[in-house]
This record gives sequence, structure tokens and C-alpha cells, in this order.
Amino acid sequence: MLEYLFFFTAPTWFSSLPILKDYIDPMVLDYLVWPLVQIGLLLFVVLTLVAYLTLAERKISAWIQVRIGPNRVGPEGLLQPLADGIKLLLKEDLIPLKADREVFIIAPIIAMVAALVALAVIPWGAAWATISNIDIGLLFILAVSSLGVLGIILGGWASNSKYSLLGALRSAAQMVSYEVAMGLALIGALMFTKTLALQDMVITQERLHIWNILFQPLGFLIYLISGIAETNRAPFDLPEAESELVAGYHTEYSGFRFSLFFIAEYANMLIVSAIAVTVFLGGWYLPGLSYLFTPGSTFFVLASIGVFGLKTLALLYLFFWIRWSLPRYRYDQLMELSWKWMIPAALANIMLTATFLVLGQELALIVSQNNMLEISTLGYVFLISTAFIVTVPLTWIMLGQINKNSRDFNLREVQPLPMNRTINK
Amino acid sequence: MTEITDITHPEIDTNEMILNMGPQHPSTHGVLRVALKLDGEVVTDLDCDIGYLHRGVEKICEHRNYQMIAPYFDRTDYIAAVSNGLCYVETIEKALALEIPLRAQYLRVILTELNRLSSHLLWLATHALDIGAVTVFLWAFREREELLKIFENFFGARLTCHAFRIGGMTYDAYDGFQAEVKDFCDRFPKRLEEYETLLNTNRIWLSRTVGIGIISADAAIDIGLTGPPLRGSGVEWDIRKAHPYECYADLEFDIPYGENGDTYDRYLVRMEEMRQSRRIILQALEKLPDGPIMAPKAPKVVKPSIGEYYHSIESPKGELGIYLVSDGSTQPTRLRIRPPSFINLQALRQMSIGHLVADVVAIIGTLDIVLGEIDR
Amino acid sequence: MAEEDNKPQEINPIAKSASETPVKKLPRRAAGAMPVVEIKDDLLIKALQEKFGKTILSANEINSQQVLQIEKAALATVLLYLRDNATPAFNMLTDLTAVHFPDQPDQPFEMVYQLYSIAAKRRLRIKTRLAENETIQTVTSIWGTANWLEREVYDLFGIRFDEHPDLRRILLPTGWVGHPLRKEYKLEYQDNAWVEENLQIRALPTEGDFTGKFE
Repeated sequence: MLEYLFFFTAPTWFSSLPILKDYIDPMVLDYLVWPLVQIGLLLFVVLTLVAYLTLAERKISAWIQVRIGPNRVGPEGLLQPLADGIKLLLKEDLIPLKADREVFIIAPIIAMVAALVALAVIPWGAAWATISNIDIGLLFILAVSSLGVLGIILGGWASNSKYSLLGALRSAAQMVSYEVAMGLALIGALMFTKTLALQDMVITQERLHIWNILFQPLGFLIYLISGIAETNRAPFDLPEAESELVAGYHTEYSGFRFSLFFIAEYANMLIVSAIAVTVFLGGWYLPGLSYLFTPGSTFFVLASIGVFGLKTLALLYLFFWIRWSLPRYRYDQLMELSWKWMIPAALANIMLTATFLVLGQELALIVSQNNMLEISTLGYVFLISTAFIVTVPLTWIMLGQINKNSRDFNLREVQPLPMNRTINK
Repeated sequence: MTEITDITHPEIDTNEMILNMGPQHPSTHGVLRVALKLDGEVVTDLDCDIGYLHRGVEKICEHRNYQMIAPYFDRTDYIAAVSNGLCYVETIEKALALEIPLRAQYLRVILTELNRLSSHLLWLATHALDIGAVTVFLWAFREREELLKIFENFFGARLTCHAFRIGGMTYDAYDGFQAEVKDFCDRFPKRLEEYETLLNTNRIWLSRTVGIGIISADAAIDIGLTGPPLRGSGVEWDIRKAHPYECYADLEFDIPYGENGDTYDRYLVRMEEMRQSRRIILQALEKLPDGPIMAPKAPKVVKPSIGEYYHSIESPKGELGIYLVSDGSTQPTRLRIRPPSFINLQALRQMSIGHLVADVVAIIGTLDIVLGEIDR
Repeated sequence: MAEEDNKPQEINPIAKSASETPVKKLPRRAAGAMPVVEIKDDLLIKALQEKFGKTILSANEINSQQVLQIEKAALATVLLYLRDNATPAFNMLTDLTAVHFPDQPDQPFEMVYQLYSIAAKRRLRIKTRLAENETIQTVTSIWGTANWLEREVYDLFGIRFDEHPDLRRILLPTGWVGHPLRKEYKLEYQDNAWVEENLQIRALPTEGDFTGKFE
């Protein structure tokens, strides 16, 4: 039973630490002490990272907007997250008089916990750098992260404020719709990896020497868009659209409870990009990494963590970039985008990917045995070229046909304004 | 400020929600309160509640000398203080039948157009912010800052600019004014292009503005819209062309106008107006003559003859008019301000019904209202 | 609250105190009047005079701006005619306001309508006189603009409009006593009772007269 939960035993450098080796039973060490150390380390790193993501976001947005950004606390403003955290902690704990007290208190905790639990199954690096590699890793993450919306709904409802309620309603609709597109977008990639365990997905990509994004460009795109919507980031930040709903579902929250929502949002961003990296961008796998370090060695694991981190941060930067460049969608347009564009595209992607996989097998370019794919060189060319040349344009044409009557598709082109050319003399 | 629940019928339908937007709300552009009657998120009715900023400017004007009144106008539409000041001094000058020296006229035009630029930039910034494009907000403020620096050098104030006197100008252009303005005008088109790259063909921007808040030309005239909202509906009417004041008749510029009367057309109209303003400024700088800046006959004690006068100018928001009734004393009997924002805001209800909450925000932004002027 | 607003109330609660302390004006010298010329050869005005006869009391050009003085009873019909049938048609109501002349006690109020024809680029000012407590026909049905403008006139002058769809105060809060743009309303007057009741601010000490101290 325990072995299913904790796939990897403690690395030798840990279990051979003198204090641990002498006093603790190796079984306890492997299954209790090591995971606890991992969890502690991960929480510390992730929460610090989340704090610094806020600083990064502020600095990046400042750079985009020709400003300076925070630069007062510490050198170059590096202690700003600390100051923000202390400020939020020291704030008065406000609960509106007419709020539903218990639900109001529990909502941010749900949001936060749902975000943090998902961290457990993400393969942050090779070998021991993951807490648990359960067989249904991807499903687990989808299931847990969709619990986060409960926190938002409850928080919005319990605040007893109209703005919060509207924000919560919007977010419920939004998250439910985009979860569908998100799940469907991942299926294409699963056909290549043939497993749901996240660590195994990375290992498969390493074995095939390829990143899934080359097989699944469309899937990646849909996943990314749905992921941004899932985390309530601009241009899909409707639940907290400040120009309409003041602050949406967390209008009435302040101090530490607000910061829980805030941390949950950034942690969700981290998870969405981490999954994108794992499923589509090869996770910690980088071609040539195994030549530099011996696979399985401590340095290799550390390097793989670095690779994973860099990829994730690159995606996070994309999140920031999009947020500070684009205006916000309207509520109905957002739903339209999901149901009329994302979901049909994801379905088409599944159909076309499956078709080409079967076709490849018929042409003997791909061999599927022992629940694993073996792809010949020509098979790579076949799969990648069909993905880019057939799947993407075909889906685009199909979507155009589906949506040819929708308003969004028929926005008029920009034309120069008519002007009077009479010269008033 | 009345009970909002009984706009049309007193009983509240259980299926509808009354949402109070404002007076403290990020995107009502000041202390405007809008009570929205919502069916889901669709606006079925709305009522504007204004007056939170009412200072009784018209009443105060009746108790001040004509020279003392002028600064009050910087504070009605504080975004376009120069235009307001121009409207006031022109009205009094026309009532006095004063001729203004040419140099003062050109300087006034340059400053008013610079003010139009800064007002439109603020509109662009807040309008984009309302729709969620935060970066445009700060980019537009970058240019506005340069303009405000010019104003500060000229007037000694950044916001409540005040340099026009009845009969001309108080200050002549400072050294380097022309160079600074020219420099700004040279840089400006590139900056405009930057905004347009972010917005003009952006699908999200298009889907948020095209077809939103449509008002036909007839409806716009009926509800009294003026300025860019009227031109966005396709009515080619601009007071600078229709009834040229100052030296506008000598300057060459075009009036942009839209076709569809939606938010996007109004956006295009204002963007084009900024280009035209720049054109006017450059021409005026070139033609700027030497000479006095005050009319030699300008009276020390301003006492218009008994009678009345209505004069209006094209302020960035629309037709800003002043109706003066004088009894021949040093104080006006009645000084009525025709506030463009007030009358434009009235169209909000008609334009928003049937749209979503998010569109109401966009429509408030596109009407470009200033509460200081609405409430006076 | 709308009900309370609609019932006829005493329009000038502070008029009494005002009559005891008459409004002082700065000493003035005799001033000339702006040039007033009677309009003679204007097709539009001629047509109007033919159609409406004596209800058009005068047609002058004051300071080269055309002004028509009209009898109150004929106002709505004249305005409707000007919008629909006149050449040029005045399709826009630029402004609507009132002026208070307390020194003409029989008809102290003057309603002013600024009309504009976009096609002909022509302005026309229509004026009519009102007695105290007299109501006037609304023009909301002729121009949509008039809605808020008439509300403003009602708010600031206390002039009531018959058949106005939504006659409430617009700038001042409901329940405010008095109409500020009337001449007898003092410049520094503040409704202490209202402020205390609605804003919970004890604005001014109760003893001593702090209202209108600069008058």
C-alpha cells in the first residue's frame, strides 16, 4: 500500500546521514522521514517562490509599462514580498457583520489547500525529486485543482456582497467550462505517453527523445489558454475584474485571509505551468543533459530540477506577459471561447491525433508494444508534420465553419475613418 | 439622490438584482453612482445618481466679479481646465465686444489643443484600463506627464491651468516653449502608433468595443450628445469648424467621424482627433505671430452691458457653452454652464440597456465624463 | 421619497428671511445695453410670426444672436413646430435653463431654450416668462435632452414641469429644503437640519447666525 504512495525511496545521501542512519529504522526513514523532509522543503521553496513571483510580476509589469517598480525595501526591492507578507499578517482581521462567519473563514483555506495538495505529485526533477508518483497523477491534479473553485464560490457567497456573489458565479461558470477543455487537451498527449503518472510521462518523453509539444502543438495551445482561464489570470480574470466587480470574490477579504487567496492564485499558476512543462515540454528532460551528468547521480537530479524550474519560469513569464498586454474578455465572450472554440478544437485534436497514430501503425512507422510506443525516424517526421500541417489548419477551418455566424467571428475589419477634407479658410 | 428601487415600478422583482456601482467604484470615473437593475448580468434598467460633487459653481459665479469667476472654471472640468478657461474668457470678451491680439489667439489655440491631447490621453488611459488593458493606461500617462510639464512651465499649475485673462493672456510663452511643444509633437505620432498596436486590431479589444453602446445619429442628436460621441455616430459636426472661434478659421484640420456609433468608432474618432490636434498645434506654432498678448482696450473693471450672450466652444468632451445674463454690474445675473459631460451622461441609460455589466463600464469610459463638470 | 417630492410643497421656505434682509449688490454705475435689433427679414421668423401670431411676443437680435420671446401657453407647440416643420429644422436642444429676476415680481422666472440646427448651423434662443409657483409644459417628448435639464431646473429653481416622466431632484439630495439658484437663497446657506439628519455631522453651532454672514 505504502509503496504505491511513495514510489521512490530516500536517496542514499540522505539515508546515509550519520544521525538518521544510526537511530532510525530504514523503513521509517524511507516512508516517513524522507517524505516529511521533502514536503517541508517543497512547501518552503514553493511558498517563497510564490512570494517572489509577486515581486517578479510587479517588476515585469513595471518594465513593460516603463516604470521602475518596487525598489525601496531591501536592495532593488528584493525584500518587498517579506514586507508585504508582514503587512498582511499584521492587518486587522475583518469579517463583515452580515457574512456567514464559518464559511467565510473556511473558504480561503479550501482554496489554499487545494492549490498546495496538487504540488505533491508534480515531478520537479528526476528520481527522488518528486514526493509521490501515483499512477493517476494527472487525474489527481485535475480533481484536486478543481476543488479550488469551491473556495472561491464559498468565499464569494459567504461575503454577502453583490460584487462577491457575481464574481463567484462567474468563476464557477468559467472554471467548469475550462476544466473540460483542459482535460480534453491533455488526452492527445496521453496517447503518446500511455500513462497518467507524471514522472512516467517525463521518462517516456526522455525515452522517445522528444517533447510532446511537437506532436501536440494544438493540444498545448488549448491547454495553455484553458490554464490561464483556470487560474483566473488576465485576459480571463473576470471573477476579480477590478473595473467591474471591484475585486470580485475577494472584495470583502482583507489581511491574512486575502493573502491565502492570493497565494492560492499564484500557486495555481505554478501548478498549471508545471503540468504544461511535464506533459508538453518534456518535464525535466533536456536533450544532452544525460551526457553532462551521470543519470541518477545527485548532480543529475539537481540539474534536472534546474531544467524543470527554468521551463516553468519561462511559462510563468508568458503568463505575466499576456496579463499585462491584453484587455479583458467579457463574461459571455469568455464562455463562447470555451464552448465554441476550445472544446471543439480539443475534440478535433483528439480525433485527428488518434487517426494519425493508427495510420502510422498501419504504415509500420510506429510500433506499439508493452504499452509503449516505438517510433521510427520516418514516424517522427510523419507525426510532427501531420500535427503541424494537417491538424492545426484543419481544426482552424472546422472552427471557422462552426462559428461563421457568431458575432465574435464577424467583427469588422479596421477601416480608416471617413473625414471631411474641406479646408476651412 | 433618490431611492433607486422605484425607477419604473416600486416593487422589486425577485428575479432582478439591484447592483450599486459607486460612488466609490474603480471605474465610474469619480463619484458617479449608477444603480443597475440586473437580470443575471444583463442590465435591464439603470439610474444615474449624480451630485456628490455639487459645489454650486453657478451660484458662486453670481456673487463674484467677472475676473474672480475665471479660476472656478478650471475646476469644473479639471481634466480640460484650459478649454474651460477659454470658454469663459471668450464669452465675456464677446459680450464686451473685445478684439483679442493675434498672438494671444494663437497661443490660446496651442494651449487648448495641448489640453485636448492631455484630456484625450487620460480618456484613452482610463477607457483602456476599464476594459482591462493596464499597460495602455501607464503608457498614456507617460505622454500626459510630458504635457503636464509643459503646462507647469507655462501656467505654474499642472491640473488647474489658468493663464487666460479677459482680453488676452496673463503670461507670454516662456523661453523654449515652442521648441518643447514641437519636440513633443514630433515624438507623439510614434507613441500613438504604439497604443494602436496594442488596441486597434486586438481581437479582445474589438470584441469588447465593436457593437457596444450603439447610438444612432438621430438618437444622439435627440439626447443632445456632442463632441466625439456625436461624431462617432456619424454626424460631422465640430464647433471649431461650424462656428470657428479664435483663429481656428486660419488653421487646416479635418473632422473625423464614425459610421456605426459604437464604442469602437468613438475610440477611433478620439484617436484621430489627437492626430488632428497635433496638426493644429504644429500649424499654429509655425504661424505664431509676434505682438502684444493683451488687448489694449481690455477694461480694468469688467462690466458687460445689459443683455445676454451664449457662446460655446468645442471642449474635449463636447459642446461647452456659457449663457451669460448681465445686468450691467460687475457681477453676472446668471452664468449658466452647459456641461457636455452632464448631457452626454444622460445617454448612458439608453446606450447600456440590454448590455452586460462589463459593457456599462466600457460605455461610461467611452462617454468620457468628468464628474467635476457634471455636478458643478 | 419620490412621493414626498411630488406633493406641492412650499417652494421658498427661506424667502421670508430673505425679504427681511434684502440682497445687497455692489454699487453700480449706469451701463449701456447690448445692441438689440428687431428681426425683420428672416424667413423662419416671418413664418413663425405668421403661424403663431401674437403668441410670439418679440423677435430680437441681441448682440447678433436671435432671441424669441414666446407666450408660455404656446411654448410646446412652437418648439414642436421648430423641430419638425420649420426650415431649418432645429433638431437639437443644446441647453435648457432658467433665470430668476426677483425685481420683476409678477413674472420672476424666465425659461431659456437654446435650439440648434445641425444642418443649417444656426442657433435660436426661445424664452418665456413664468410667474412664481407656475408650472410649465415639459419638452421631454420633443427632445430627450430635456429630461435631465428640466430636472436640474426643478432642482435649482423649483420650477415644476407638467407631465415630466421623472421629476426628481438631480444634483441636490432628496429632502433638501430650498432651491439654490433663486436669488433669495443665500450664498453660504446650509441646511443644518438636513446635514445633521443625513450625514450625522453637527455642522455649525446652533447659537449665532452663521448663515449668509458675507451677504
